[in-house]
Amino acid sequence: MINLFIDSSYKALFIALTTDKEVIDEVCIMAEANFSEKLLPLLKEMTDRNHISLNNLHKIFVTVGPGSFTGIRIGVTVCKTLGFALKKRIVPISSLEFMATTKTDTDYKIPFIDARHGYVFAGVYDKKGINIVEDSYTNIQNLIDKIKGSITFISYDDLHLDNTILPKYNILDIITRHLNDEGLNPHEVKPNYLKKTEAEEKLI
Amino acid sequence: MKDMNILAIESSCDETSMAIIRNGTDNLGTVVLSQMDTHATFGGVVPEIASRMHVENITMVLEETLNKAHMTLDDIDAIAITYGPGLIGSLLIGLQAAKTLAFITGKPLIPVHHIAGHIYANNLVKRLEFPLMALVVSGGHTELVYMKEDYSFEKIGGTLDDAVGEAYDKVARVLGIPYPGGPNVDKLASAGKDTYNLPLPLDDDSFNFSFSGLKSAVINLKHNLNQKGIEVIPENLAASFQNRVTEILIKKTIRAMHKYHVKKLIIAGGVSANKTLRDRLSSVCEENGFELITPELKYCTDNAAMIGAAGYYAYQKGRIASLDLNAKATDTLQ
Repeated sequence: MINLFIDSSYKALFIALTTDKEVIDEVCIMAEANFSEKLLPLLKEMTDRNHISLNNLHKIFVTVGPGSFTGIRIGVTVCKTLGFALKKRIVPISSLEFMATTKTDTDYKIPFIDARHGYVFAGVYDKKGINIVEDSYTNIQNLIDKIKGSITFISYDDLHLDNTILPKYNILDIITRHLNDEGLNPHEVKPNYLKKTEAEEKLI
Repeated sequence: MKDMNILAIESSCDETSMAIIRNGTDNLGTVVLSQMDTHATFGGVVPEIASRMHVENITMVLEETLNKAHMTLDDIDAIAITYGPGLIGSLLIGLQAAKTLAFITGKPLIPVHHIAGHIYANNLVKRLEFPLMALVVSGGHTELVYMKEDYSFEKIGGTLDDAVGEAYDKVARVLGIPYPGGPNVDKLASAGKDTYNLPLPLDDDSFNFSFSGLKSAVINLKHNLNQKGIEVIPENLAASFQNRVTEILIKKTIRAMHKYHVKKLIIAGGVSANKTLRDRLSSVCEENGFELITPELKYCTDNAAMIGAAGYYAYQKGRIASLDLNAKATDTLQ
């Protein structure tokens, strides 16, 4: 059983092919503005290199946000199209949960993405990477106030918080945790922006 | 020669569209999912909302298109995609879907310029004959394009500021007419008379256009009359504005045709649905012994059928892209 995982939701473009127990191949590049160019060539190289036919895919895992709106859509569009064409189900994954696969010694992990104007996209995860406080668009202090214990912040952004580290992904953690998720019909997969558009906010 | 079925994708603005076109001329199935009602709430296209709707609908549009044409992906010989110009976030959705399909099927990926698509909408009506002049008029474009053969474009003039459709939308707002401005101003104008003194914009020897001055003249005129306590007659102001627009478009188009010795004219783009423009161009072409070809109304606005038609000829010219193809918000037609 071969699984495909794609994350293009923020600063890193991460693509992996795994079995249920092992990583077959993974690639992680920092290319911010070039995900649109890079994703398909990297995916093709990876499947070619490992002699994997797409028809042998079992499930497709994709991060659906939060993060860069454009970045999220690139990965989601590719996976939806793959899923439709290959008749495979798609397991949507939180991009923050993926960041929270980073190993730490503290009680809690708060992966966050700077959403500017004093706000972040963030959630609270325990040592094992299990979600404790749901991902949201919030002030980070709100999250800190909700928990008691030591915290590691995981982010590409610098908000001058003590004990902030860069994400160091563990793809097998995510695959193992979600292996038995039923997944969605590709038509039903939607990005999870956690934020309305400015135009919609002004309308209210 | 073997038939070539092209699956075409267009998502450059607020329509998610796919089509399957055979040999550049036969429309086997087209789906256009318009977001117009959503954007009307905001008085114009909101790019972020457009992108969000594209990604939600993309695979459903694909499924419906295949169903309409009674085909599967195995029947597709190539994928044609609008890579630009347009709203970057919107373009990216169609582009990723197209690249993914090219990757899965191993079939060629054909990059199509959006304006080439509008021009080739006419090829779905009648096979284009060359040389020809194309007048491209839409919300984003106002261009005169000379074509000596298939998929060969020489832009001989364009707008220096607002596109003609943009000017319509802005004037519509001044007149308090709901979005979309173009068709509504056209309708209003048909009930009015050309009574207001508005300038003929950029009436010079070039083949370029400029509509921002005319738009400002409309705004100033309304403002000045209001100051004097005189009520503006919207029908007449719409008619006066529209007359100036069509007059300059026609004047320069006809002059370009004489200069380049072409006898065939096609119009393309959203504004080519404008009834006044069609009627007047038709009679002027008749006077000059020119043949005018107009696209079917359903092909005037953005659609993937025209991209599939253009894609066939782009492919014959060897325009094939690799999987690193990116979207371009702006790009010259060539």
